[in-house]
Amino acid sequence: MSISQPFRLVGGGRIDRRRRVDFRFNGLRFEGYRGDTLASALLANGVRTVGRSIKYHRPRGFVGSGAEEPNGIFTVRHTGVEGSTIPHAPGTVVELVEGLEAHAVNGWPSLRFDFAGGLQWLGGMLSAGFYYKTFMWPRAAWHWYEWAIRRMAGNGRAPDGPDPDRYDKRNAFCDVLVVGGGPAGLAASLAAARAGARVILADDQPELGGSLLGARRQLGGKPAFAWVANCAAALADEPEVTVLSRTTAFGFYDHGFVAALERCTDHLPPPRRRGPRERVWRIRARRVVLAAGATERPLVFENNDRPGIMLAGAAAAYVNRYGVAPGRRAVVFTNNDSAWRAALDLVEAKIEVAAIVDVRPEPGGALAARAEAAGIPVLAGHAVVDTQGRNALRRVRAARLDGSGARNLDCDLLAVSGGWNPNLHLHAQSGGRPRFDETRGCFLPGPPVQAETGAGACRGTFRLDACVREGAQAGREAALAAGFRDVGVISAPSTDEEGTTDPDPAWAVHSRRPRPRRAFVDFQNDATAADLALAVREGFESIEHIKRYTLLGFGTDQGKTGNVNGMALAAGALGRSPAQVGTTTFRPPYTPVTFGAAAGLATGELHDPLRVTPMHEWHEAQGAVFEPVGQWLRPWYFPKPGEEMRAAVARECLAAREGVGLFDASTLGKIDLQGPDAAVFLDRIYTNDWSSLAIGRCRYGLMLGEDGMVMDDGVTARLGEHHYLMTTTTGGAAHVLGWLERWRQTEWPELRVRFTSVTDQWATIGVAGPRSRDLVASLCEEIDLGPESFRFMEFREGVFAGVPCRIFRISFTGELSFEINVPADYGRYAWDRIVERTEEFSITPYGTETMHVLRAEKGFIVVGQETDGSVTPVDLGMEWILSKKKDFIGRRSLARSDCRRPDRRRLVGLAAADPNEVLPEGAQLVDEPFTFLPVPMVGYVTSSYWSPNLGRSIALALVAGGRDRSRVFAALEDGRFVPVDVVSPVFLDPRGERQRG
Amino acid sequence: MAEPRRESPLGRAPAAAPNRLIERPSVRVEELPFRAILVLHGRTGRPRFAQGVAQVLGRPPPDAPNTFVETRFGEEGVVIAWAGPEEWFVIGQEEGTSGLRVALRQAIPETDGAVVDVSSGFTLFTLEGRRARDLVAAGCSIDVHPRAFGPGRCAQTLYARTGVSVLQRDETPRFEMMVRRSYAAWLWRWMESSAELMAVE
Repeated sequence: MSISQPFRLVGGGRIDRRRRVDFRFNGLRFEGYRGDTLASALLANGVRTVGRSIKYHRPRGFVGSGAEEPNGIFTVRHTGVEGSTIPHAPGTVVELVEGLEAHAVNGWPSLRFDFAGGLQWLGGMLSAGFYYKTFMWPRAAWHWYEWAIRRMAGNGRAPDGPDPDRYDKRNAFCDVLVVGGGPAGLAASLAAARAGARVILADDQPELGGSLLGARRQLGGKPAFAWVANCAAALADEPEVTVLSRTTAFGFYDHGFVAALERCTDHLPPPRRRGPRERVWRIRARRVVLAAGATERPLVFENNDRPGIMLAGAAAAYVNRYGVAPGRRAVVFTNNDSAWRAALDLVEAKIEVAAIVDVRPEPGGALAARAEAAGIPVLAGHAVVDTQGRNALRRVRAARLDGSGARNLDCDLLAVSGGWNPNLHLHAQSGGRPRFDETRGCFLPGPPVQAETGAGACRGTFRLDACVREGAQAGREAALAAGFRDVGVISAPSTDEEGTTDPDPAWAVHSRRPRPRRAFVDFQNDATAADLALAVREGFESIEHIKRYTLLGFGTDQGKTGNVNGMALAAGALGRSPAQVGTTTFRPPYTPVTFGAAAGLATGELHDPLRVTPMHEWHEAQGAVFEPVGQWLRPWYFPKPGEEMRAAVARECLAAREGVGLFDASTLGKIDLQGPDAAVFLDRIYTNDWSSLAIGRCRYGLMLGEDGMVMDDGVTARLGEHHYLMTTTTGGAAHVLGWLERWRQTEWPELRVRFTSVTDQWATIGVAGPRSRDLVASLCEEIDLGPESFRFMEFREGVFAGVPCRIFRISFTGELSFEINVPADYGRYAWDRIVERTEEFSITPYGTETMHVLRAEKGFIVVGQETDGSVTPVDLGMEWILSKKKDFIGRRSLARSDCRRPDRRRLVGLAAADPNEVLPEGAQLVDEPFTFLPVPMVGYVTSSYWSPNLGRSIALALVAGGRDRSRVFAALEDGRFVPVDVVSPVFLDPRGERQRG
Repeated sequence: MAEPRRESPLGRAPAAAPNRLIERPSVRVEELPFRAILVLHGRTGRPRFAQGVAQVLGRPPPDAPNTFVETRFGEEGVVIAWAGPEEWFVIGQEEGTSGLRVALRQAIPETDGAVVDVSSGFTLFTLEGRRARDLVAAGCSIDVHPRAFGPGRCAQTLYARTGVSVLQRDETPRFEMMVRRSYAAWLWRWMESSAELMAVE
């Protein structure tokens, strides 16, 4: 034995003994081998205590050897790698790499001496529901309690700072997805592949083999691993097979959609890591074969949580797979035959087995003879009733089930097996309902709900040869069901199978002490048998409630070892069978998934698409401050160096009314309508009349929902006899297009009209202000821009700066203004030609904030700001836009009595008595300040700005009864009530002379 | 006045390399800007529509969903891609010189079909290389395996949260992805990141 690894066996295991790996645990240096997990390397070095339990801070060691591990949870980093921290990884799945630094997640100041360890002597005080009961009072103290509790509890610390790693996602499709690369999964994959199916095999281990990796088994008269190697080679030869190793299928969703997490680089030393750290596979499978294996469950007895007490299968795996002795002298405690095999493996590895303690009166079956030949003493009809050892196991106490014949057995390893639980997670996530099988003492998959079938241990088949046979059959049937040829019965190799894993259900061992010690059911949450009994005594009946009261099955391990024991104990306390009590809900993910993997590339600027206009680079170069509008990024305002927002907006507002304001309106939704029935269609969609609109003219339109509420607005132009161009709000474009299509396709298929989104096709440049006509004229020679020849609400086609254009004389600012549309490829070019004339025409670019101020000065609404889905055109004072000559969507709803209430909230203007007071948007309006509660709200502020053109604050609001009120008070957050006058919403140029000029 | 200058959705390109390129050992993405792109609406069951298209493009638009056909407009190679019920994209070559829109508009009566120029509204990316399929699979849930997809197939789908049309042009495989202009720069950055992850694996 190596000195540095005193518990490393001389030979055996699937580790590479030529490649030593240095790592650290809690600051101390250790050495292991390539192929080790953190857990096997620590055990090889004799480290037994690897954590403290969450509630009682009891010393804990490894219980398992895989994803089920409840105790051995670590914060993992790597020397010299900044930021890359895994906060709570089970040491049993962390592959050992050079430079790995692991820290126990609990235990302060050290694992051996934990201050909070004294908590366990507080006896019954810390029972189930302790937190609920104790920290309720006084309520105000909770924030202090929480601070203290969080220091004591928790599984690791979230790293601070951004995650430096990158994560990927991949969509994949297959005919047959096989989950699990053990005997059943390998056989299934091969059978399906031979039928010609596209197969994905997802396996969570670094190499294929599943349970065979940790067991010493024979198949077809040869070591089972030769069979595994043959299968792996055959799969590698199949062109349509994708084997995903280190990949955990963690979620089974509807329609054969399975999500899997591939760990791409964690097993490599940091310098060799390339590409994404993890990848989420989004797999759509026509058929799914679940060959996810089974998880061994512990037995529940007093002090069953000392370091050195582990699952029998895990003990065998440490010996067989990693060449590690998990102890020097073992006792095996079981209720089924599988642990007998583990005992024989221990003996084979020269580990003394002091006894097999079996609760069954005549245990062992065919294995009994082999145990006798190996010289293992057997205590039949006995149980382990207690254990000793402060930081690690030293001795166990065994006794007959009636309590007699108690004796002590010295040992440093207690290998326990309470039977095996099929891994039903994916089956249950797919909609299956597990059912309890009394014979096998475990839950089995119920009837499949999706195109899914189980094979092997995950459906309760534990004999090795049966697993292979069942897997092959499942693969064959899956391929057949997916439309491939039948490959016929596949012969499976025979095995050395002996014994049975059907346990004698012994859910808990009673010591018959008057005051029993703690017997743990869920190690990670410190939930005990007594807690479950207490929960039932306190009246909980549903297993879901019992779970939440006792914390059974929470945490990073999600109760993989403890759940079924807990459910059975709860059932016992309720006087019911486990079948009646059932399981808690199996929710994805099966094992924890990092946030990084969930996000994939979608972080930072790639989080969500950003839409930009053709002039975006110019805006950026000008130092624009941007505002997200839907997915669009729009310039909000263009500050000069050192300029505050208010000053910049004021400057932009004045410029647009005095010189020329330049505005990028490309984001407005634009929909091309063509067809002989376009006018009829518009008549039905919009509230006003469209048939009368002449070619070359534009009209403002309001769209209502069927409920009569304002949905969208915009200007539509008639481009030709059967051709219109509709504009929509920036945020409403996609919805409006869908709305139009819905009516055309489902209600009025007889109308010949077609819609095409042309939002992206056109760059739209708005120029506003008294000199805008001169500016446009300087760049556009062939269109007569004279006020009489190109009137307000008309459009012209022509050439602008050498580029084909459509120019609309419309206005959202109340100024003389033009909207110049050019094909977007030329948008920046046309924009630059305008900008070149900045000096000549005193041009000022303005952003969305100034646009809002300018339109508010005119009392123009913004859908979504003045409206919220409960506002009618009448509420907005826009009766004029409701045609009485025709029907339109929403018209009948406007006749509802509620829409005609005189006290509906109506759009008004607000002028605060103090002209410098800019009311906050959303502020509630009341009739009287400082009155008794509850204060009736009469309305609220919808838009509010400082108007530089008027030299005062202005606001728009919805107020009950509208201008029936002349004065209201705005309730501000700071407690003040500000008097405001209710005025006309049109603050500037009420007759519209400027825009028509 | 100088000749108006076009600008691709990916921004102002250096004169030396007008087409943007992502070049990795396993995958190559190139922008094909300034293509003539039209949206065509109509019913292939209406002779005046189908014949009008055939008169200009040599054949009526394909009826089968999610397929495209390659045809010619004079010397110009043109693709007609199914885009939805009674709706197609017509993708020609050079935006500025293509007479496609005018020819189609003249051939199809206004009462029987719609023709809309969206050349500026979209851009095209071509994806090729050994791992072109993986790059498609990184961003969208369309099965592009040869058994499920192939030359002549197209799809409207979400790719990295942007709506795109994916066309498989040949068996090498070479894909074309058509994306709306305002999304193009963002999608390009996404593809750069995705291709980079792929390249370093």
